[in-house]
Amino acid sequence: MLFNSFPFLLFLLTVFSLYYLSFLKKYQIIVLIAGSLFFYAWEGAHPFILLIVSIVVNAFASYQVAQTVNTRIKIFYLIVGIVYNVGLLTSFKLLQSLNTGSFSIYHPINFLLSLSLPIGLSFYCLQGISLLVDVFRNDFNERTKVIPSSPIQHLTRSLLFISFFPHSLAGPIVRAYNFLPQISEKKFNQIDWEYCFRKLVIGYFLKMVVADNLKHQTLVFMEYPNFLSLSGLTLVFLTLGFACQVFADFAGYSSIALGLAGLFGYQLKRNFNFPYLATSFSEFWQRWHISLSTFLKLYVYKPLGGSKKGNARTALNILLTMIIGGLWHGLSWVYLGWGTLHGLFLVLERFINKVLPSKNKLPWVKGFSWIIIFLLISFSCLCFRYSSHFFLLRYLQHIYNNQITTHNYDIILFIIMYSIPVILYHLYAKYHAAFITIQKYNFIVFAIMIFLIITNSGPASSFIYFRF
Amino acid sequence: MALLLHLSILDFDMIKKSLLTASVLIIAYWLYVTFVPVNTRGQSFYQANSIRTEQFIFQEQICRKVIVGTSLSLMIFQDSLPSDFYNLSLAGMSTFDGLRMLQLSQKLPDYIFVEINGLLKKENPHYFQKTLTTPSYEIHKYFSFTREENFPAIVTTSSLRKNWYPYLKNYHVPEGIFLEFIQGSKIMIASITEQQLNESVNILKSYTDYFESKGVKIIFFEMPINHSLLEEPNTFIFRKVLYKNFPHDRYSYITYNKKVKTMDGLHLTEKEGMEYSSFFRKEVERQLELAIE
Repeated sequence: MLFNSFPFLLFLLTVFSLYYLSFLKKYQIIVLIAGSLFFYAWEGAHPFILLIVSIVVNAFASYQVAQTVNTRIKIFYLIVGIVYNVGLLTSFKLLQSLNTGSFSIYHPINFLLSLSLPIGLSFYCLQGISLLVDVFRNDFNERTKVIPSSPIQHLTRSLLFISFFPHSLAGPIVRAYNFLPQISEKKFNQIDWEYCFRKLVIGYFLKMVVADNLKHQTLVFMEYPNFLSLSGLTLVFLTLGFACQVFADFAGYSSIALGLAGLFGYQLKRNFNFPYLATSFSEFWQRWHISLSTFLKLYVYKPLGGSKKGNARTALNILLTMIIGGLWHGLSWVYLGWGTLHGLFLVLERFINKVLPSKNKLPWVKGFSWIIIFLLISFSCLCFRYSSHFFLLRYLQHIYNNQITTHNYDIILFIIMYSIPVILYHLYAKYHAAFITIQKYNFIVFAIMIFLIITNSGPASSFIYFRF
Repeated sequence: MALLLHLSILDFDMIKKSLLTASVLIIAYWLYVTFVPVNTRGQSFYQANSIRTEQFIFQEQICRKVIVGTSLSLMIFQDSLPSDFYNLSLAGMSTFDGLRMLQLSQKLPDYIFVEINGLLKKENPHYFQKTLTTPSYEIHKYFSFTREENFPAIVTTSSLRKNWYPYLKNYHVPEGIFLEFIQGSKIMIASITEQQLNESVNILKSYTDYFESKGVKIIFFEMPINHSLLEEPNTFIFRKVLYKNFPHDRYSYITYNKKVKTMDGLHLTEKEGMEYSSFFRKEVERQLELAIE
């Protein structure tokens, strides 16, 4: 069920009304779980069953980790749980990568290949790991009884934590440490309406007006063989437009998720913090898909030793973390390349910062770095466009080769037009102070966004991150 | 009720102002597009398809002659056809999609001109089901400002874009790329199985039976493409199967035997498109006169 569809609107109104009905106050969590499961079941029976099994396994393992006194048994359940989540995720990603149509239709593996990657699997497997590790580390506030003594209660809370509909399909990846303490009775008059309104309007605008309209251009013209006949300049614009589309699509989804969670009294952590303002790769990863980079930092990079074991080991840890991050998107050469590339960028940057520590503070260096970072990130986004490295390399080759072909001004015009909101959005964050005097007129900006959502929305399509 | 009451007493200053201003903008824009109609062109092939179908569905008069086909037939320029023609060809889709559209909309013309090149593509059964049955269809029907042709982005840029169509005129691809396009099309044609050819003809038969039962006359036409593609074995087989099921003594065909220049092997250049449009118009007139006699 897409956030930008009529069935979702009906679903939201129903669940929201039931959730705050005074005589159902006692059953708020049940209403939200039922709604979330219904929302997920809309995607099909087999993903739904897998979700339920995953929640039960994670709830059982984390309950054992919390309640068992013996440390060895705790570690045993922790490892079983992690292996289950990693194994499940890897198996489906592997099936997805094998599903290239190269097997004969009579081959027995076709049955397995027919099981497509369940939507949201990559996200809820990571949340399962977070539940296990956070319970094991006992990071929670001591005063809060986060893991109840009743297994049923723990299962109920785990159900809500993993299946909560605003984040179940494409994140943000919520940590148990942040979410479980929030589970309590919510009051209607405690809703922060303005916060929810802002998040929802910005989210829907980025998705429906920016991303879905940019898709008009990138879907058709970046497809092989269509891009062969376009000029190098047009292809560069398409690349930059695609980078803006990926941002608007995913940041839009995350913003909608934050707004929806707010309507039910839950605070999710922001997933994007104006990433295209970054003047370094490390800064970019603190601003882009924050929930994934935080997860990788806490649950992969740090356990590998982080930066505490010397320069060479730090570089290796960074590289490994980014490769895992790349492969999380899919087991293919393209994602492996993407992860490795970002890992190498980060290692190289670390080296440069050590050799030239003072120069990166100069404004011209920052400006130059910004351009380089933005271009490299935009071009690396092409990995999300092409599942095969053959087409990706052909595309890059034609940017260089097609210098004499006529430019397609239609494409360039619409790429610029729909990328402008992304640019303005980032400029607003950068020069926030300059806008303070006119902040009381913010409502005009929101009115324009609503107007464009109604009159200028592109064709409703699923979010790019649904396929991961 | 209690919820609504609570909502009404909350202080939503910023939200109220935003919604109110948005309403004013919408009303003003509605008036603008109603009283200052702009001839817009879609921002992409897909939007152009939507605009073409929406204009067809929502126009009051019923067109007597409708062309259904793919992007190949879009080179039959609407401007060079008489006013009772409507070119409902859809880029990136199949001829069957146009036929399905006509069937679902129930806006039946007297003549349907069916592009046979696009019969080898499969139809997308959900596309028009979605277009014609979702709530957005009702919204587009009653609130014209929400229609695709009235997108502020294309309304505001229409005058600018009107002047730069030389892109199509100057369209040129290097020889190597042109040959790659041809090779790609050959592979595509060669991959079509006999079973697919028969299936396509059967689907076409069910459509033609339906339209003929409603008194609509079917006329087939084949868009000219690069001559090397016409010599592909599957092209011969398909024509043979088609002529067998839709014989010349019962159905009219418009064929063009001249060698043509194309942009990519399939789509005519603008100049060739003009020539073909003129031929098509004359040929239709001639065939209809013959039919009357």
